[in-house]
Amino acid sequence: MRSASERLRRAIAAVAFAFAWGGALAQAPVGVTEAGAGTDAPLAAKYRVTVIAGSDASGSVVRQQEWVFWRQADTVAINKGSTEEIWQRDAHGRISLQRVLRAQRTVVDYSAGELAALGIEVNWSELYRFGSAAGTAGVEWDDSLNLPARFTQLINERALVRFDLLESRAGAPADWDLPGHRSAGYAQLDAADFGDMAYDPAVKVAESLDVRAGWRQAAHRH
Amino acid sequence: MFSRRRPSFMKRSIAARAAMIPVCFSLWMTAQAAQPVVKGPESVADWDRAGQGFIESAKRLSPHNARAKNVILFVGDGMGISTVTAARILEGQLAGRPGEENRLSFENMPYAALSKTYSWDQQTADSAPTMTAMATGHKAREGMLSVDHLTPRGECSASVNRDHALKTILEYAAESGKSTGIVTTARLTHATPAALYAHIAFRDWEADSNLPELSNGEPCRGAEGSVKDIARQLIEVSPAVRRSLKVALGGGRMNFMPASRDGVDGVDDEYPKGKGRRADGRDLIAEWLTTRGAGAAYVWNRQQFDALDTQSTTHLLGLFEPSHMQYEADRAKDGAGEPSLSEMTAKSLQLLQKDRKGYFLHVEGGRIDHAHHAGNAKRALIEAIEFARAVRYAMDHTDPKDTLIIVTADHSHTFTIAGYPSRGNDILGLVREVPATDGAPLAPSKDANGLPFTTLGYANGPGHRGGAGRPDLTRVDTTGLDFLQEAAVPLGSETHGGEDVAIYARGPRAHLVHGSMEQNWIFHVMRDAFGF
Repeated sequence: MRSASERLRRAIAAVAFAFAWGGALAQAPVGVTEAGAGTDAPLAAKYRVTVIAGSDASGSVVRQQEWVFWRQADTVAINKGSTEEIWQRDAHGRISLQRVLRAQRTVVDYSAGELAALGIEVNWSELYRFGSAAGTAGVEWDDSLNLPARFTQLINERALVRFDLLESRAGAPADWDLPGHRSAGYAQLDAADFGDMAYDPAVKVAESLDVRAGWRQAAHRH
Repeated sequence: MFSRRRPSFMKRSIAARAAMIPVCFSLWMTAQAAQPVVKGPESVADWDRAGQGFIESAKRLSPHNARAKNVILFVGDGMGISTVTAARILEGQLAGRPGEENRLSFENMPYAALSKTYSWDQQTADSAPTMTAMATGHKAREGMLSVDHLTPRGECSASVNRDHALKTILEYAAESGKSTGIVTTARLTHATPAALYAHIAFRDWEADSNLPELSNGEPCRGAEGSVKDIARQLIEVSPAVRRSLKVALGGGRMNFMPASRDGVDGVDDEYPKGKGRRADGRDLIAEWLTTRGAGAAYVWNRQQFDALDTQSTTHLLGLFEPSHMQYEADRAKDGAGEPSLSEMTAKSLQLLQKDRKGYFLHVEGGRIDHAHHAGNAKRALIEAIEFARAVRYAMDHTDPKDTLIIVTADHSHTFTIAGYPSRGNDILGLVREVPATDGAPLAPSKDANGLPFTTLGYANGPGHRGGAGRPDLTRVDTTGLDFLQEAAVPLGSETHGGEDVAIYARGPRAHLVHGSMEQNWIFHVMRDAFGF
């Protein structure tokens, strides 16, 4: 059995992955977190993401970005600048993902079946709240929003990254760069086709993001 | 032949052997009393009886040289021989038997051969040239569909593609007045089914939005004279194929729907947030219905499929998912519901068998390949078992006197069955060898570092566990649906395998399937059987 501290460590790592490395709260099961004191109302939130030390995927030493988290009843989306993740839950509870690659002008669809085939389990509760408040040391939790307000995490033992909640608004602010709003004309790929499309630059990028999130290498399962 | 196990015994000194004599005697005495822990269900006589039965059956075989009225080509995408073996065992084990003695439906066919799957330019090939080989009789280039190997890569000119086009077995059948059908669990525009009706230099040009703006420096997408995308080619086939193609069932709905039309988004019926992918604004589903006559029908969910009247329906288009259909293992969870491969096969035969001139039907188990690419053996094997179920339906509902059935794969995968698991050992489980001493309990075999390992694995793919070495699988449920088998080489997606695949055949001219065959010879067998 995995120890409680190990489960907690993995939960925190999952949050950090979601922000900094293109993954999402889709790792090995870490337990469903109880809601905080606030509500789970639809909202949009801006975070400042700062690489304090080490290097991120693009090799920079220090980098700061603003990312947008946006949740609705059946959708959780994250705009990370060059990439976006749009998670959707259907009426039957099946969760799918669209990964938006802006530089490649491509949207990659991961159906619920494909996520399962890759061994990826999605914790909707933590995804929806962008993490867990349950006794997480070093995380400042905003109970009114049910979102983390601030935390710092070492990612992949390479980069120390800090996340600061800057602003939140109810609904979908029209003047924010919300995820999914710029990809209407993008090409679309099915992640199930990656095995036959190793030549495609978008596939290379998407697979690279998958691996950084702990997918496609199975290690997260054990 | 006897060198596989415990070579260390062979290296022990004479003195050590002498010291072991009392121990061996003791073990021998124990063996007299203990029963084997692992037992097959066969009696000693069963082996002889089965062998003689096989010989008698083989002696009764004689070439069936009549022409085939009907031909059915089943292709398990990525169903290499190791997949057939593992699926056979799993099917048997799911029925409560040891499994190894089981036979998938098509393994009871009288003729079999090996198929060499290389393409004109690939040692290990993808589905486009391999299906082109089977559909046209010509080995072709990587990624190209039913155009010859002289076609330039990325060729977007319609006229050049047309000049290099190779006529397919489906087109031959259509021109001879037969009915035709295509069934797949992948997108209908995916490489394997598309090779039967499309002629195009790049398999990924499934919708017009997939065409590049420029290809080889020339305008492509939307340009006058550019090749039609694959979905459009399915709708705008030749007049003969338009009359003939009575059944087209599979996934890939989005490639037939407009992204927007008259300023309105082409919203998907099943997934309201999904949109069509056609940039030209055309609704190819509506066009299919209007060009196929009053008896044409379109279905996209289980209820519509079940309610379909095959007597009054002349042409059937079924598109059950925006992209590929669900994996068989997940199909029951689909919100709108969708038919299985065997159910689609049954419906297709009910429609096609109305034609007294006969038919050509292609059935693809398209998602064996996808599950293998994901490194997920259980989903792949469940797909293969369902594929075998579809073949069984066809075998049970056609006459071997007039219907040639061929079952094969387009290519293999890096999937392996390894170790020395005992008879009846869970094919998805950890390897447990036959104990060295009768009566001793079964225990997991261990690797050089003392860790257990599974029977199934991949040479490459997402199942690689890097870093600190192999994982300890002692307490892991390796039989779970989502378990990813270990892979030796880390790759984001597992790859195809280059070894031969099997061909099985029954019916008129089935005896032509024999020995070691080039993959493109399958076309020649079908054409010869039809007499074209």
